[in-house]
Parts: sequence; C-alpha cells; structure tokens
Amino acid sequence: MRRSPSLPLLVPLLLPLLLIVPAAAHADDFPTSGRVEYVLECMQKHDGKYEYLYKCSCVVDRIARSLRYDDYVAMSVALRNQGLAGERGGEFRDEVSVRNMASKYKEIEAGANKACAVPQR
Amino acid sequence: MCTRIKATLAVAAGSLFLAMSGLSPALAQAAAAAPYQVSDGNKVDPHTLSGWRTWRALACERCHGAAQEGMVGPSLVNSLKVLSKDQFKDTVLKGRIDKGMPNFDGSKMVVDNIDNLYAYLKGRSDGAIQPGRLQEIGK
Amino acid sequence: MSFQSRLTCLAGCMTACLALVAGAAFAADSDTAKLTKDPKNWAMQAGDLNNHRYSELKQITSKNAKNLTVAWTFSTGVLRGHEGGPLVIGDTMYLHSPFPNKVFAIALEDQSIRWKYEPKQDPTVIPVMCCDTVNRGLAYANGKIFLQQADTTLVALDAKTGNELWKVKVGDPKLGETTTNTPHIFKDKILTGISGGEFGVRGRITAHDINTGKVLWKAYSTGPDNELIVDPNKTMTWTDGKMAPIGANSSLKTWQGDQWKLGGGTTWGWYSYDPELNTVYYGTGNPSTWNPRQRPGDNKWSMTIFARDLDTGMAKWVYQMTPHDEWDYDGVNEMILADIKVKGKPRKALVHFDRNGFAYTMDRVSGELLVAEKYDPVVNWATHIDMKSGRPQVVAKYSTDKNGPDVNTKGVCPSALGTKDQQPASYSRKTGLFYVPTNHVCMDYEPFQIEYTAGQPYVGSTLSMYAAPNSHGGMGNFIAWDAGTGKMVWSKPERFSVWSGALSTAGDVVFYGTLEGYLKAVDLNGKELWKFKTPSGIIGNVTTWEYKGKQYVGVLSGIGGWAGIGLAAGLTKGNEGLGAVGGYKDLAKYTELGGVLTVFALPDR
Repeated sequence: MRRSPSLPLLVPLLLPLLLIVPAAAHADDFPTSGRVEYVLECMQKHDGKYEYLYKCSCVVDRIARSLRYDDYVAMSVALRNQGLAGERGGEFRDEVSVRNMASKYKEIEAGANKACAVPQR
Repeated sequence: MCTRIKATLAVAAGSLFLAMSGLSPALAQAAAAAPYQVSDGNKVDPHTLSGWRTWRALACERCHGAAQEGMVGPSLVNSLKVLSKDQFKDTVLKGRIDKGMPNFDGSKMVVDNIDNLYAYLKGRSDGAIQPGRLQEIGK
Repeated sequence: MSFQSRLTCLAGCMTACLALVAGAAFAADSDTAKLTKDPKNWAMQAGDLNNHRYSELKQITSKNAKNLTVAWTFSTGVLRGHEGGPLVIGDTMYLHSPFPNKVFAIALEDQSIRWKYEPKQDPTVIPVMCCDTVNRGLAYANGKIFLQQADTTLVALDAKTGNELWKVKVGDPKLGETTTNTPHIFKDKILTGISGGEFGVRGRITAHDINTGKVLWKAYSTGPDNELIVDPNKTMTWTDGKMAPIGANSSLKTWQGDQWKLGGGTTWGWYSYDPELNTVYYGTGNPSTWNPRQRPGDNKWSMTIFARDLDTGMAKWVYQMTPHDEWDYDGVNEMILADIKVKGKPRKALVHFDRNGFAYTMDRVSGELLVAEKYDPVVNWATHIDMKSGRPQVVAKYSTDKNGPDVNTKGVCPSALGTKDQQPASYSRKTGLFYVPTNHVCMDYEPFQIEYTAGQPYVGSTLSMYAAPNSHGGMGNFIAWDAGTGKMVWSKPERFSVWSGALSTAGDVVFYGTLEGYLKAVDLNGKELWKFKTPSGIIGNVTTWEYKGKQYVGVLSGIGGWAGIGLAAGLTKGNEGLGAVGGYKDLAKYTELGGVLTVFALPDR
C-alpha cells in the first residue's frame, strides 16, 4: 500500500470561475458536441421544425461569442436547476451566486433568442 | 361565480380608489372584503398567519416552491386566480392522487385551517402578501 | 406392508431425501460475492461486499484516460434523478430507472434490449415521493434480478426473461413509507430497508429468503429491545474509552413517551458485509421530527452504525454518531470495510464518511472508536468528537435546539445535506486511500412546532443553503482521505456539490461525476486527466466492467426536474427508453433532462 505524500490543498481555481466575465474576443470555444446539444434541445422545444436548425444554431453561436464554454455550462446548469424540487433544489435556489449565474444566463439567452427570431419557450 | 366577479371588481375598484387616495393597504383590503388583511407585505392578521403556518408545516413548498411559483406541482400564484374557494378546498382535502397531490383531509391542522390556508395563498396570488416569513400585524 | 405400498413409501422417502439435499443446496450461498471477484463483472451496486467501489481493471490508465471516448449510450426515458448504476454480469447489463422503476436487461454485444420490466405501483406513493423518486439500483443473485420499488414492493425477476418470481411488500405508502435503497445480497439472504424519516416512519431493516422473499428477521432502529434485536448484556457500544454493554431499554430510555414510534432511524443507504465475521454493517437516519425541541433525549438508535449477525439479526455493537440530532445529519452513508493500519496498528476497520462532517474509523470486529475527524475543515456544529465518550462537542450557537423554534440558527456547516450524502466514496486497495465526493455547503436552519399525521410530512423546519463562506466559493470538493490517521491528503474544489459515487481503479485513475454533467478522471494526486460533458447532472455511481477484452466505464446522468422541456419531449408519460435501437427516435427525443447511461472506452487502435 503506497501512500501519497502530504500535499497542500490544490490551489483553488474557482474564485475566478465564479466571477463570470463575458469573454469578448477569445470565446467561441464551444466544442461541436456542445453546440449540437444546444441546437437539438432548442429544436425539440419548437416541435422539431426544420427552420429551427438554423435559428437555434444562430442562438448558440451568439451565446458562444458571449461566454466561455465552461461558464456557459455552469450558468445554464444553474438556470436549469432553479426548479429542482425539494431540498436538493435549495443548492441552486438559495445560493446567491448560483441564482446570479442563472439570471445572467437567462438574460444572455433571451437576447440571443430575440436576435435570431426564436420565440422564448 | 357572480360573487367572485363582484368581489374581484370590488378589489380592483377599491385598490384604484385607495391608490389614488393614498390610504394604507390594510384598510384597502378590509374595504374590498379579501379573505386576508396585510400590511407592509409581510404582516398579516392572525387567521392568515395560521394559514401560512399550515403551509409551512405541511412542507407544501417541496412541490409548489417556496414562493408558490410551482416546481413539481403547479404554480399556486396562478391556480388561486382561477380556482374558487370551494374548488381549492376540495383539491387540498381530497387531493389529486394521480397527479401527485396528496389528500390532506387526514391532517387536523389542514382541516382546521383550510380557510386560513386559502386566505394566505390568495394573498400570495394577489401579490399582496410577500413570499417567506410572516408576522402578525401589530406584533 | 404390500410391495406396492413399500415402493410408494420408498419413492416417497427418496423424494423427501432429494428434496432435503436440493433444499440444502438451495439454502446455500448466493453466487453474487463470487461474481464480484471477477473484475470483468460489476455484480453488485457497491462493487463488492466491502463497498470498495474499486476495480482491478487496468486497461484504462492515468496515461491514456485522456483518450476515453463514447462507446454507446442508453436512455431510460425517465425524467427524474438517476442514482445508483448498472450491474454487469457476463455479457448482460441490468439497468434500473427512478420511479416508475423500469428494469432493462441489455445485451452488451449490440445494446439490444433482452427484456424490460415496468412494475405497476401503488399510486399513493406518488405524492409521498414528490421530490425524491430515486432508486439506487438492482441486485443480482442465482439467476435472479431484484428490484426494490418505490412503493416498498421487493420483487424478484428471472434474470433471463424478466418474469416475476416473487413479490413482498415491506412498508405502507399511506404511512409515508417508501423505499429508494438497493436491496443487498449477503450469503443466502436479501436485505432491504425503508425511507420516510420526514414522515415519522419507524425505521428498520428486514432480511428475506432469496428464493421465496419470506421475512427471516426484522430489526427496528428505535423501540423495545426485542424489536431492536439487541441483547442488553451482549450488544456493546463505545462507552468511556472502551466497549461496554448497552443495557436494557437503551432506546426507550432516550425518548419521551411514545415518540420512538415515530422515531425515524430509516435505513435507505448502503450496507456492507464481512463473511468471516458473518456481520452486516449499516447506518440509520434522522430521528423525526426535524424540530429537536419536540423530542428531547438522545433519540437512540437514530444516527447509529449497527453491526448485526446476518443469520439472527442480533446486534453485536452499535455506535451513535449524532445523539439528539438537530440538523438532519442522517447516518445512512456507506460502511466501507477495509483492512488498514490505523495509527500504526493493522486493524479490520470500518470507515464511514458521515453526513455530520466527521469521518469515522471503527474497529469492525469490536466496535471500538479509533478515529473521528472532520473531512471538511469548515464543519462547525461541533468542535470535535470526544474520543472517550464518542460524543460530538456541540457548539452552542449552532445548536438549533438551544436557539429554539422560530429562531433562524445561522451559519451551520455542513447543511442538512451533510458533508456527504448517500453518494458513495471509493477505497483503493492499491493506495490505501479513500476518494470521497463531498458537499461544501452551509445553512440557516429554523425549526418550528409541528403535529404528526400519518402519511403527511413531519418535517418541522425550513432551511436555506449556500456555499461555505470564506472558502473557494464553490459548493463541493473531491477529496483523498487517509482513514488511518484521519487526515486529508488532497482536496480538489468543485463549483457545485459532488453528488455522484466515486470509482478508483488499478489503472491509477479515480472517476467521479459533477452536477454540470461532467464525468471526470483524476490521477492519484487529484490532477484532472480528462473530463466529458454528459447531457445532464450526474448523481449516479461510476461503474466499470470488461467485455470482450475491452474495459468500459459507465455512469448515469439525470438530476431530475420538470421544466417545460420535459413535457415537450413527451417523456412525462414515462415512455420507454429506446436505448441504442432506433437512433433517429433517440434524436427526436433528445433532452438534457432525461436519464442517460453514457458508456466510455478507449478508442480502437
């Protein structure tokens, strides 16, 4: 049995992550699968109509220009889980920074929807 | 149905009048015959306070959300706009088992406070009572 | 006697003899433990009897983990939180879903569905389950698959066909009783528990015959000695620095009046078993209600580690971690059995990461308390555990009882969800360390007076949760822990709480999932090797197996929630998951909320 030597706590890299800084020029780092996932769900919300392939792609491209992928993931998860029932949902609803992430993302998505002519659902 | 419309109109008219005349909201509600009395958004009459306590004790927020906004269960802010008092009582006491709403007719607290619970939720639905903790008026 | 009748008699005797022999064979061991010894399988939820969640497979290593890629996926078609994980035995995977608790038998060869089963459940369970409709997975033994349904029905299915073999109900949803735990196969018995600590349910575990479902013994968590199955003179507990008998009425003495009947002490977590000691280990949950003022006393034996004889249920030793709970720190988390050096001395240990923020190392033979240390430094409700009495030293300002009802007790760490909830840790037999998914969350907690009504919530408190203040700002950590010394080896911060079960392997990789949906692989120093975003938050347990010479890693995603998207996807009616069959239909039903098993492997060269 080998024991790891005592290590200091890994330097927390999270504080910067929670200060969501809209990435201006260096964004657009979404992996293809990330964009596809977004478009699929968005099309699903609009009855699978083909035109939404283009409209939803427009939306995710805009979001990708505003947010780094890691931030987008965290923020969209924060929004998605606002309605998580019971005690567990408290983690997403009660914690102020998570609520802020959710609102910020909602705002960004709403703006992108408007610009790409996607009705809010 | 007619009574409800009249009551709604009365509330609307009353609020308009009082908004214009700057009288206190508590008096406004009394004048319009709403089932609750509220002041400063979070101070209510003892009956409505009991209604809030019942809401809290039966952990309704687990399905309906802490601000009655709806989660697993529907938004009560909306529901109370369309349900009559009798329909509300029926739903709470008998439940809607297949939809996941339990029947609360076995709970003494709910049975004893069903009108108070209605008053509290109506106040929330009307936007007159704030979500969260409440106190008694004057205390 | 005539010749004819003599023949009949002889035939009868022979039949009886054969029956006896057959019966003896029938009552023998289950094959589950043996199957877990083959690392190609994952034959029980916890990996093995010891709950190690460790695999000897080493095709995936810390060098090549970064190349992991998706091999296949399977949708359960259910929009609720997916805990637990798949079972893999030979060439078949058995997968469960949260309520309505579907069961799938999937061929590993082509992911076709061999059979599926969906129970018809008692509808009164739906409202009671409202927000916690999870299921922690299936069990397997002797060609049978076992499902513990939400409505408390325990059912045995033929593993080849999915046909029902027997059914037993272990509780009553009308009383607020439900079940979410996996059933546990130990030797010739199947053990299960009960949920409903928030409904005033009286906790217990039951042991059943694997072949018939017949109840063999039932042991309660609160109440009279005979119902607890304890011996006042022989059942021991840590007292004043040594083991001593618990004495008569150990539970009753610590409750007021009849309150023990609504006592809680539910048993919805993970159990382990030591075959050499023939002992089962498990923990009990919170006492009812959450308002501590309404139930003065230590409330034994809620929040307790139990060690029971598997055959009789007799408790050998007990240890209550949080007497007179004031914060909902259920004691049901896994009891990991590991033979490690504790403070320099080799011990047959039991290691338990409790909700209350303390990691306990016990001697599993005697029940001695060896180590009890905070596994998150922000834990503040108690300064430490007094090692002589075994009791936590509670800090007055975080005592919700002291502060009283209708008072908001602020800043308590951890929150009611604990430093770790049911999400199981992993013990690596290679490194001797424990890899633990944790919550880094504190709370404000306000109890209030409440009356009990059968089947209705008996909670009595509201709470508000937030990230541990004055820390890295995130709500979780994934840590490595040395249970021999009670020290943290490393801690990797996470933005959200880590609610997935961990897995460690002989390839020197440790896996866990995040609430963003990432499945992550880290090396033995906690450095991230690889991460992959699955469609939804992960609260399932990472699992690994081998098929046709290839090692696979799989995890369930799906955190629950009922946003409009769920309705749009048409999955709320519990439409069947389509698995890998009908790819386009999968696409059409794509939603980030539905439960999915994602399976990874290294790419073919």
